[in-house]
Amino acid sequence: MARVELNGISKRFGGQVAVEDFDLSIGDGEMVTFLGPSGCGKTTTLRVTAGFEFPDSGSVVVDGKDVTALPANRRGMGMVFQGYALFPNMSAADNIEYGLKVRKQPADQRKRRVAEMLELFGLGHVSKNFPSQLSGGQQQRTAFARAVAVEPSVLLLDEPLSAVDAKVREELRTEIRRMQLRLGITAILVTHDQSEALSISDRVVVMSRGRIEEIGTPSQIYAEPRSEFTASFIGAMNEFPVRIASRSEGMVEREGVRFAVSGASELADGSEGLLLVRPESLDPLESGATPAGPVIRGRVEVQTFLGSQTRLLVREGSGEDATVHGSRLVSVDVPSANAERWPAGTEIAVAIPPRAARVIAARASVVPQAP
Amino acid sequence: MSTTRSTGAPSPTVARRRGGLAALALLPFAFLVLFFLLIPAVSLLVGSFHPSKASGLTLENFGYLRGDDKSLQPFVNSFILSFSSMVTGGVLGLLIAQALVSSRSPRLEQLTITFSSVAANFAGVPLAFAYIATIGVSGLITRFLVGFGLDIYSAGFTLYSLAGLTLVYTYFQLPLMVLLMLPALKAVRREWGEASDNLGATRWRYIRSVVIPVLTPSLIASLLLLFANSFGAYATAYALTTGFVSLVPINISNVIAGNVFFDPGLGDALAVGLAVVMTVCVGGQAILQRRASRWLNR
Amino acid sequence: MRRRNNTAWAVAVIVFAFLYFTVPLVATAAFALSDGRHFTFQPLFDALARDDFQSAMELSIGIAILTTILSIVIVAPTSYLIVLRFRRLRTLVDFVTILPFVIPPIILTLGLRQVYGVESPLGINLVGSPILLIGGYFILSLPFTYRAVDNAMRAVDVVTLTEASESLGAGGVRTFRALILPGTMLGIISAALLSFTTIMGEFTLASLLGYATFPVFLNNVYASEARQATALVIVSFLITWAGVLALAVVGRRAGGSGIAVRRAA
Repeated sequence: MARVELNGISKRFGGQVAVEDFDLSIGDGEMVTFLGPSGCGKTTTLRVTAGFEFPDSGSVVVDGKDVTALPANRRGMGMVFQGYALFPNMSAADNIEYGLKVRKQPADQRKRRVAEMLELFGLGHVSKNFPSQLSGGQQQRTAFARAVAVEPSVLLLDEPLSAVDAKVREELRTEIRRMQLRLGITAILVTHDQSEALSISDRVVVMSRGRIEEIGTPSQIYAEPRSEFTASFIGAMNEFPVRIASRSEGMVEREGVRFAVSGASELADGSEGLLLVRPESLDPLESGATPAGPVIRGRVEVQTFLGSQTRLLVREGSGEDATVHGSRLVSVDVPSANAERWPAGTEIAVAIPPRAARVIAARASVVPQAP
Repeated sequence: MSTTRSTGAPSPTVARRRGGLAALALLPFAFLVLFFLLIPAVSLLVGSFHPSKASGLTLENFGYLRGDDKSLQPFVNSFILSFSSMVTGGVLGLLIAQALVSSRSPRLEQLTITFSSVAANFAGVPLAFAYIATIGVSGLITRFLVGFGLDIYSAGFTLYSLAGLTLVYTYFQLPLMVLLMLPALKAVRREWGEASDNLGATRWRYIRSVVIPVLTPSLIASLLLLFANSFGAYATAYALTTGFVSLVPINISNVIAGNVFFDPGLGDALAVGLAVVMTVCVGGQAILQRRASRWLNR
Repeated sequence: MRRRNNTAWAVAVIVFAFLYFTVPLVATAAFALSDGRHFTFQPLFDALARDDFQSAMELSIGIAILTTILSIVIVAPTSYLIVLRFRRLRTLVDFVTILPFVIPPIILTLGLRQVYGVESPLGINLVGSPILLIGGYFILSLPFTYRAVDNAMRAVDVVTLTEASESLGAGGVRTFRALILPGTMLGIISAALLSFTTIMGEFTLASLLGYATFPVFLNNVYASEARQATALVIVSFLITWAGVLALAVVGRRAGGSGIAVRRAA
C-alpha cells in the first residue's frame, strides 16, 4: 500500500514521443486506470512506473521515496502482464511461489502463503498444472496471484484482460476490483477498453498521443467529458455544432434556438462550440408536440437492438433533405419496448434536454498540436 | 463436419470401389519404398547375423559389442568426431543464435538464416576442397599464420586427422545449430524476464530458474541432431582423407568397395550399429522436441 | 549503458560468424583463380570445357530432373490420399518417410549394393542402370519432399476443399488437378527444389555404386588437377546458393521463413 507520484514523466523512443509531461498522484489504495487507444503512451507510462523503462525526464516517487533510478527488481511492485508472462516450466503454485523464494522466505511460510493465494483465487484444484494446461481465466488468476503474493507496494496491470474471451472478461474484471479493494492495494490498470476502465476504477486518466486528455472519476468522464477526444472515445456520443450566444448567461444558439447549457460560460462569446449529448439522453417527441428547447428532426434509417434499449440511427433533415449525403446521423436510444413506434423510414422529432448536454470548444481549438 | 452430397451421393458399393482405386494409387509409393528402402534395410539386418563362412545365425560380426579393438575403433573415432564437432558447432552456433536474438534486427536475422542454410548444406566433396585451400598444408590461413611465425603443421596439426575433420565438420554443424536454436531462443519471451525482475529476482536467478529449464529440451534435441548429422556423414571425410581415417561410414564404404580386409558380415554389422546410433539420436530428438514445444509453442 | 555492451557483444559474434563463413570461400577462390601470381579465370574455363565435366554435369542434371519428377508424381497423390482417405496409414507413412534420417546414405548404399549388385539374391542386377540411382535418390530425398508436400496439404485443408468440390459434383481426379495441385503448388515447388539440390550434391551413393556424377567427377579430378577441381567448388557453391535462395523465395511466398534444413552429406 502506497502513494504513487508521477512527476513530469517524458519518454521518447528514437525521437518519437511516447509520453510527455505526465503528472499524476495516486492515493493510498486507489485504483487508477490509464485509458486510451493503442500508441497513446499508457503502457510506456506503466513500464516507467515499473522500472522497465527509464524516463528521459521526470520522477517516480513512491511513499515520498524517489525510485526513478531503481531497477525493476528493487521496486517491490507487482505486475500482471498483458500475456500473463507465466513461467512455462513452473506449475501454477511454483509461479506464485517464485517471488517468495526470491525474497528468501522460509519454506513453511512460503507454503502457507501459496496455499492462501491458491485458495483466495480459486486455483486449489489446478495448483500443479503448468500454464499450458490452464484455461485463460485460470492463467489470469495465477498471474494476479503471483503478483500480489509478495505483498507489493503497488499493483500494475497491463491490459490484464485482453487475452481472455468476452464472457470471462466481465467476470474477471469484477473479480480484479473485488480483490484490489479487499487487499486495499494501490493499483494502476492500463486498458483500451472503456467499459473496463469505467467499471472498475476510482479514477480514469484518458490519454491520447502521449498526453493526458483528462483525469476524473468514471461518472465525470462519462457524463461531463471536457474534451472532444474523451467524448468520442468513451461511449457513443452525438455532437452538434453550436455558437456561444452569451457567455455570461451560459447560453448557446443552435438553428435559431437559444438555450442554457453547462460549459457555455467557459467559452468566449460568439465562438464555435460542440454540443455533446449521449444517445440515451435524447428524448423522442410525441407527434405534434412543440417543446421550447432545441429539437432534431429527421428520418429513422435503421434500428439496432441493444438489449433493454434500441438505438435508432436518425438521418437529420426533413423530406428530400433526409436522403442527402453528408447530413448528420444522430444516435437515439429508446426503450426497446417502445421501439416499434419508430420503424425504419418514419419521421421523428427528438428533443435535446439541455440539462443532459454539455458544450465544449469546437475541434480546432482543442486538439493539441502534433509534436 | 457435415458434408452435403444430396444429389448423386455415391452408393456404398461405388464408394468402396473408389476406395479401392484410391488404394491402387498408393501402390507406386509402396513399391519404391519396399524395393529401395525396406528390402535393402532388412537385407543388412539379416546379413549382420550371418556367419562369414557357414550358414545359420551368429553374433560373430558384432565384434564391437565384445570390445574387439579392430571393429570398435571406428565407433570410437566416429564418436569422438561427432562429439567434438557437436560441441564446437553447438557452442558457437548457440552464441550466434543468441547474438541474433539480442540484435533484434529482422534483416540481420534473415540474412544469417540464408547464409546458415547455404553453409549447412555446403558439405561433402566441395567443402573438403575448400578447407584444403584454406588450412591445408599450403592453405591460405596456413601460410598467413606462417607469416606470423606460427607453423601449425610443424606444431602437429593436420587437416587429415580427427581434429582437422572436427574443424571441417564445424562448418556445417555451426549453421545447423543456428537454424535449429533460433526458433527456440526467439520463443523465450521478454516478458518472462520482466516478470522475474518485477518479482525482485536477479538476472542470474531468472536464467537459472526459467531460461535454462525452458531451453534445455530444445538444446539437447539440437545437439543430438548435430551428433547424428556427423556420425552418418561420409562424403566430407572421404574426400578429405581418402578413407585413411577409421570411421564407421568409411569402414562401411571399404566393404562396399570390396576391400579384402573387410568381410560383408562386418559391413552389415557396422551398418546396423550405425543405424542404432542414428535411431537413438533422431528418436531422442523427436521426443525432446515434442516436450520443448509443450512449453514454447504458444 | 548495459544495452550498448550487449550490442557490442552481439556485433562481435556476428562479425566472427561472417568471417567464419567467408574465409574458406575466399581461400578457395584465391587458390583456384590464380596461377601463382596473377588472378585468372583460366582454371575455371579449363574445367568447364572438359568433356568429362560436361558428361558428369549432364548425368547429374538428368538424374536430378528425372528423380524430381518421379518424386512429385508419386509423393503428391500419396500425401493427398493419406490425408483424405487413409488416415490410419498416416503414422506408418510418417515413420517410413523419416526412416532415411535413421538410415544415412552410406547404409542405403550398402543395402542397395547387396540386393541389386552382381550377386543379387533377388536375381536383379541393377549396377550401372540409372534405375538404381533414381530409386536410391527417391528414398534419400523422401523426408524433404514428403514433408514439404504434406505440410502444404495440411495448410490448405484439402479435406474441406475436396468435400466442397465433391458437393459441387466434381470427381476425385478433377478435384486433385483443378484444386489440390494449384493450392499446394508452392509446397510442391519447394519439394522439387529440395529434391533437385539434394541430388546435385550427392556423393555417397553415386561414388560407391559407380556413377560419374558431378560430385564424383569433382573428387576424381582433384588428384590430377587440384586447381581446376577447386575452381569447380565455386560452381558447386553457386548451385547450393541458388537452391537455398530459390527455396527462400518460394517459402516467403508461402508465408514461412522458407528455409529447410537438408542433412549434410
